Amino acid sequence: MTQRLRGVMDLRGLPDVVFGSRDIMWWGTLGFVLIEGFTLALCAAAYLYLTQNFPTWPPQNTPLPSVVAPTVQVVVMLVSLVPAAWTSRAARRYDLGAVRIGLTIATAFGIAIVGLRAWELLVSLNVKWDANAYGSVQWLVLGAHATLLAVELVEIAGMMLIFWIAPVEEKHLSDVTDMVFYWYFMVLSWLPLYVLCFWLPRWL
Amino acid sequence: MSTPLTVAPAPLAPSTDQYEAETAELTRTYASHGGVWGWITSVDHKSIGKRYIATCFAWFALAGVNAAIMRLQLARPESHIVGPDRYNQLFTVHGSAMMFLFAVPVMTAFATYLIPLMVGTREVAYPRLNSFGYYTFLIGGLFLFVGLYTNTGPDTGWFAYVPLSGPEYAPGKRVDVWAQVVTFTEIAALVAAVEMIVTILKMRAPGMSLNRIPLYVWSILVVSFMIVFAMPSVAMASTMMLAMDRLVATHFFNRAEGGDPLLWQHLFWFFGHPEVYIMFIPGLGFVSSIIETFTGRKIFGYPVMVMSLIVTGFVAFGLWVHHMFATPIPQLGRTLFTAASVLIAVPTGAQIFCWIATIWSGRPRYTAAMLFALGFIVVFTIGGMTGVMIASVPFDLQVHDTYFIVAHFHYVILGGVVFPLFGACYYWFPKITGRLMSERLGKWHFWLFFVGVNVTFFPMHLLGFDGMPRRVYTYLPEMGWGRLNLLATVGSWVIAASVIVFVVNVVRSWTSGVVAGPNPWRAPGLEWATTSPPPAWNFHPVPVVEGRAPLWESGDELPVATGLATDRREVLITTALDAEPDNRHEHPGESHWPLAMAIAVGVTFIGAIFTPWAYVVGFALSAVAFAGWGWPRGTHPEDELAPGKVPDTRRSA
Repeated sequence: MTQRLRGVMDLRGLPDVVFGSRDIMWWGTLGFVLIEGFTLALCAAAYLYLTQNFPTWPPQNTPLPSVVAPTVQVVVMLVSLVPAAWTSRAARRYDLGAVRIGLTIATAFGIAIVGLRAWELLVSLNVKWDANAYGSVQWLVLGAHATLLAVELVEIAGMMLIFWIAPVEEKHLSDVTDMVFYWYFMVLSWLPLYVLCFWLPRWL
Repeated sequence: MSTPLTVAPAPLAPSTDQYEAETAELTRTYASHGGVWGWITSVDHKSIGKRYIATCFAWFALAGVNAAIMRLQLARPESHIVGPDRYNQLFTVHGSAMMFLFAVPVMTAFATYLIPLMVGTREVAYPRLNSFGYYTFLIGGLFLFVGLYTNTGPDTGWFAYVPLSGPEYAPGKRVDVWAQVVTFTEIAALVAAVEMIVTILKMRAPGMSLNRIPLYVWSILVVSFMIVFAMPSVAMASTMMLAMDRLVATHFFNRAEGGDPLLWQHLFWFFGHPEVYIMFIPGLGFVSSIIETFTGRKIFGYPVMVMSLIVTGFVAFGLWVHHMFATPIPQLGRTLFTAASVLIAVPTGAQIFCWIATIWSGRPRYTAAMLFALGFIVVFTIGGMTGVMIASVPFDLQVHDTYFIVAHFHYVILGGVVFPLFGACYYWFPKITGRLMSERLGKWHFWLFFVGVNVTFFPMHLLGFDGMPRRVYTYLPEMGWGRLNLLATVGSWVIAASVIVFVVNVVRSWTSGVVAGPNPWRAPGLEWATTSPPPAWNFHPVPVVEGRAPLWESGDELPVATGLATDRREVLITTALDAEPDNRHEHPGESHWPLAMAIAVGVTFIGAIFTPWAYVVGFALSAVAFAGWGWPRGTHPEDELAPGKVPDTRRSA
């Protein structure tokens, strides 16, 4: 079949640097937020399901988890939202210097938060994964979120290095804002899991 | 490459000279490395789609060999062609491969090839992620079959029920192979789902508003959302729970330490039941495309068809417990899930009536593709009706774990997946290869397959009524199951013959078939507006859509949008609902890093069968691959950021 072409519009005037939901990288980030958020929700569902198998939660002779380090971590995570938002706004106004500083701060926060998570797993939980199903599912929830945190730390640190030493284009500023969007998810998704893992055992 | 389109001297359309100059520039922009390295590093969705399709069919053939051996074994009582241990591996790998390596991924594979063409864009949303997904899938498939051929094939059924698959009853590494194959395939499915959602929602041709997208594209959109919510369940259950119970002695499913075997069934079937719909909803899309083209009219009841797909997607998540009727679940739960299981027949039934109305009011051309679409309606309807039967708890308890169930789901899967898939092969083969398949061989293929499927699987209903259980490697002559089993085995030979005819047809047609041209079927979709096979950039200029059947409505003049760059891999991003042009996005070029990342993931999960430290090593390897993948290269000086540089506001927003 041979068809003639009939020009009806010209695309030259369209922008090639956009932010937020106009950018397809934001949509990809949203896709992974949905997948990972639902995975975390399923972890929480498995947690609640297993509580039914025990007369007490945690089981007898299993100590309660400590809440000190986890609470410190929650506070640090919430505080980290401020420089994250500041970095996102800097990216939107094409402020390269501020973005570099913001990414450096975000990396420092990331290292602190991942370190605190390791402490929570190894010290605060007061139970090993192979003690009983309670221990297993505590490690499941914390471990699942910790894995996402660790991967995100690699991304944030990598982005920081790129912005300091590699030739970056204007479109990479949009990637920074998407990364901040993902960080919001990391922090907000942790809040209910924090309550689930560290406070629910005190209330049940 | 020959130019398929003549250029009209219309306003905004390029002149002939300009068109040819731009095409030459696109050829340079999309040039691959060539040779094996070019194949490895390709990010072209068509190249990846083709290898994805071929890989899926390879797993289909290998899993089919398993089935043929099982049918030989069962052809007569007290047969000893294989022993019980080997038989367990054969049926487990058959089921696992058909579900995880064929039925779902082959739909992903076709979508990878077709969706960008059908929505009128140059690429999928994330070309490198697409490449990574394929390699991960390939590693998973190789791992499963290497396991089988080294006597390490999984042997606890495709759903690996605990405690049978737990550390106590399944020592060794066979179940670990299964758990990690699931991980590989789910990663591949999830990245493909995100690809498809974004490609469909944000990269459609201008004017292709949601109420104009082809039904096949709708089917892939619905299925991609289903994958996003279904696959995490099995990935979590297999990788983070079952594998951990086996590797580091967690107790998720160990009743003695407060774990729960039924938790596995809930998590597995929360994925496993939507999986059935994830498999055949794309098949419904294939059938809609085929029937529309070969009846020469738009599909009857387009809004009903779309709503049916969406409703099916939702209700599919409310059925999983009907796989657990034989477990101690509350009466109210059984009632609810029975009702939902019956309910889901309604939207599928509505679609079948729409197709019948389309055929009734159109001028059907009975090509091989059309025959497979009609065969789908017959076989799938039978499978659907037995599905309604086993939605009833008392009936289900009678036939649970018998060959009636085997008959039911083979009718559903062969009817809902394989018939439309073969139809799709005949329909889109000319687009993919530039040549038509032989219609004569195609009709032989159809009739052999149709007869073979029914002769193989219909007797299994009766065997189920006679009490023959699933997953037995042999039976005694006194049971009286010999004749029907022999008949089923003869049917399997007919299926094998039909597949051989198909393979011969593919090979002959690829090398010496009739040259197809851009639109040999006079079809309405955008994929037929470009050459067969399409160039690396699919379209230039970008097509503009003015109706639901663009090529039927545009007549001799295809409306186009000009101005997309030809010196870089630029794609047009449009708004999600109305597909209005919004911005331009530059796609990355060829890369070996997706393969490197897939290998890092492979090392991680295969190593994790033996030691948990593999996760640490794998994380480090993945971080290296991640850095290589994302590090900026080949940046454009005019686009580079510098301190104090004022942005070009014309180009940014």
